[in-house]
Amino acid sequence: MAITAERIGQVLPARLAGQVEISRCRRLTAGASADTWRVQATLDGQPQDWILRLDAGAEDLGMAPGKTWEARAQQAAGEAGCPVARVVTILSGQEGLGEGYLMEALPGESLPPVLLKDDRYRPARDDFCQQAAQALAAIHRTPPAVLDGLPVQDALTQVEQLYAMHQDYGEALPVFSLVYGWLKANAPECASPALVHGDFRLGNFLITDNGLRGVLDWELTHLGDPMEDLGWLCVNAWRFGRRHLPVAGIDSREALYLAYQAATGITVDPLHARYWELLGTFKWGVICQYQAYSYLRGHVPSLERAAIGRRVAETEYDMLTCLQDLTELNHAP
Amino acid sequence: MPLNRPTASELVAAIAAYRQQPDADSRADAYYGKIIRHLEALLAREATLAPRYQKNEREVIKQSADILGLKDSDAAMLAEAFSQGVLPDALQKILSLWLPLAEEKLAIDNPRYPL
Repeated sequence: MAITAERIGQVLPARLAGQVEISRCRRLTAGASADTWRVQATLDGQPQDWILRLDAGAEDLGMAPGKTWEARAQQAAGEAGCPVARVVTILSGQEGLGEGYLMEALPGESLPPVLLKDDRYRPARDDFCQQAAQALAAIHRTPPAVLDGLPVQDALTQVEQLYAMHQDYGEALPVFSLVYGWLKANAPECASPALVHGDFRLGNFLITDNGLRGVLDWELTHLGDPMEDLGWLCVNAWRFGRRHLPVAGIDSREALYLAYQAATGITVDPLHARYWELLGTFKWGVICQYQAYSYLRGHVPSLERAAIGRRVAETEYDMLTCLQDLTELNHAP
Repeated sequence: MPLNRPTASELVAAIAAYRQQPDADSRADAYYGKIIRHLEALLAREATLAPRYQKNEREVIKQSADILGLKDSDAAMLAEAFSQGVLPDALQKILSLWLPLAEEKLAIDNPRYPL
């Protein structure tokens, strides 16, 4: 059944304790990861501004644990001190909307070009590394026991899964294979899996004049190696044209590593973090292919999806430079 | 490192399909117009630069195969060998061959990409 504002208006009040009156309900996005709605309502007479994220119609790259886990991870990380939107209720799927959850809407800007260029956000940019590191520290200290059953995805698991996706597209691209071979041979072990956000990057943060207000989009969360989040934050695609500033186009890797050390007491091994930066670049390359092939195979008839296929060249260049940096770091005295 | 898909002819078909059924929303249509201009410029560069790129690519594949001691050389065979892992000394040589080729490919796909 198609999700409509009327259907949401029928289902939500029954899920919540108290008198609910919905005044406005509009779809924000229907995209790759979620069907997202903004719901304005009163609860026992008090005004509420909520975001509803539903699984309905979302594409599955085979990496997401599902909306229930997404909500539970967001809740648990929030309890550990990460700035997140408070989860109001989790939908089991039995209500008729599919899996999903309702959370409070947070203030802030998420668009990378605005955050990177607008003077209003200069103080937030100055504090970004420190606040991102503190958020990561909270995520990574979340007790894994409270998320028992959330899948573990270590480096080797992800490398093999991504290469299988790449091979399924049938293009012989030696750079992907070169990087796959290296990632496979050098995969770090993950003795104590921690909660990992999985998509910790500019575009998934809500930022106000006062800094980081919320970490969004937990759909790729899993248990694994905390260094994955540091590496992904530095992938060139998330620098938005500012190659010389590896951390989200804002700061240096060293600043992030030191801030993370200050927040956690854990010294970051640059080789380890940059392994994940290479794996993240490899992942982004496969995701670009995934999007292109969703067009080529007739699943999503979108010109935008077709165009992204030719961005794979960017990821090949980035993979090669990452790998070169890693081999040089390996040989550094 | 062949030019990626969609191929030139697939992109031409994608643009034609969009033009037959453009988005009714004017803002969305303006956005797709930008994508079309980007793709048409890419196709023009590909028409000019692809022959030299493909010649250089064949040479890089051949030299890489020589480094690994492979008897024959094509992209698929090389990809298979690369996927088994490459020893550090050979890796340095291979990177020095493939990085300039990756830049040459970007000159077709996105010459404004910051290097």
